[in-house]
Amino acid sequence: MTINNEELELKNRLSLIEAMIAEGRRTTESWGKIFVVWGLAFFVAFAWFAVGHSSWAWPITMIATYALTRVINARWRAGQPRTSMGRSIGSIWKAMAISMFILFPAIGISGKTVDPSILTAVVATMLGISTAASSIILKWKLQFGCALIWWAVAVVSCFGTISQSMIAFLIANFFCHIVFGVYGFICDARRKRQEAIHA
Amino acid sequence: MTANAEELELRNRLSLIETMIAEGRRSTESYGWTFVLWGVAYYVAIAWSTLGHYGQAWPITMSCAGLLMGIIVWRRQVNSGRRPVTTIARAIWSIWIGVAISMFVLLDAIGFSGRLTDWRIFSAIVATLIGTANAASSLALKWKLQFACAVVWWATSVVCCFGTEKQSSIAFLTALFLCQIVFGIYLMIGEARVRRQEATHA
Repeated sequence: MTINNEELELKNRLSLIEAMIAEGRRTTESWGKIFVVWGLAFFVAFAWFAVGHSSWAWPITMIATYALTRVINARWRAGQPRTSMGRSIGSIWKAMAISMFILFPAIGISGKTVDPSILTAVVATMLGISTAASSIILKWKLQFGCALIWWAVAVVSCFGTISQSMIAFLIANFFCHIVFGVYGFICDARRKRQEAIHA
Repeated sequence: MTANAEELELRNRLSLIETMIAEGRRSTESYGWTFVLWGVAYYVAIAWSTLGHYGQAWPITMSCAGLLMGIIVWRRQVNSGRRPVTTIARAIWSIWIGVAISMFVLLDAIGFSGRLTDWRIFSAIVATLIGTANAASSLALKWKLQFACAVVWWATSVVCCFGTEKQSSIAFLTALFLCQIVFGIYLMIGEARVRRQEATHA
């Protein structure tokens, strides 16, 4: 293969990746509602656990939200072609969800006494992993900002008191799930409006 | 767009994804040595902290391993020139970078705060984080063998939660051997085989 051909192939590949990144961002924006749903689910679980002192608050809320996510996902994805970018981002969130569903019930059922702040730090770190990986793939600074917030929560949880750790987690949940989700929702709606005008 | 054109575009896209997945696997194989490097680094850190009772064993070993990996990757890139990167290969990099930063932040914070005294829970957390990275990467690459590694790590995390200290140590060391050393060597052999085939066909 000549140098010119190689250069051309490289350029084609780069422009394809750029197109896929843009498509990946659009997909993430249209997933805004899922971020909002999980943000609300965390608030519900926290409130239920704090007020009702029920040990089932977290498992029930998380499983119900997971089921709801599956329903939304199935309805939204029907007939939509999958890109390799979407597939990669999906695999990150799926892996994180499986890990959480294995680790936390195992710790809970084993009956080992673990500082709640450490558990909060682990949850924040796992959310940080998915958010960071997804933001690096999509070259999305705003989402990477969310990952930084999650990592900061992990550090605060390790060094602060339990109430400081809870407050940090709830604030991060508000910004990185609810606000980020609503932002994605707005961007998606704006784009759809523009597409309708240009059609 | 007609139905035929749409079908053609869908087929093209699927074949492109398949090509990228295959290229992503090859790219992972070329990083087989990093699995071995980190596996050995974990063993060194465990041995040093257990036998030497030295609190800084983990941060020092992990930093040295990270530095060594950085130098090797940089030298390989300089020698081979910057190769075009596919979307999937980029995604795999992002997953491991995300996990590396997260582990660095969390484990250092836990270590310096001194709030987690149960070694088993610490091992369970580490196993889960490594399992997450392997699972995400294997799902993106449709790679059953790597997903099996993720399952081994998740199983280790469950054993660490329920087992005794001895059981959890054995489980962790076994997972380290199978999923880092053996899997890494398997990847290195795969890469060497591909290179030999390429050299034969050239």
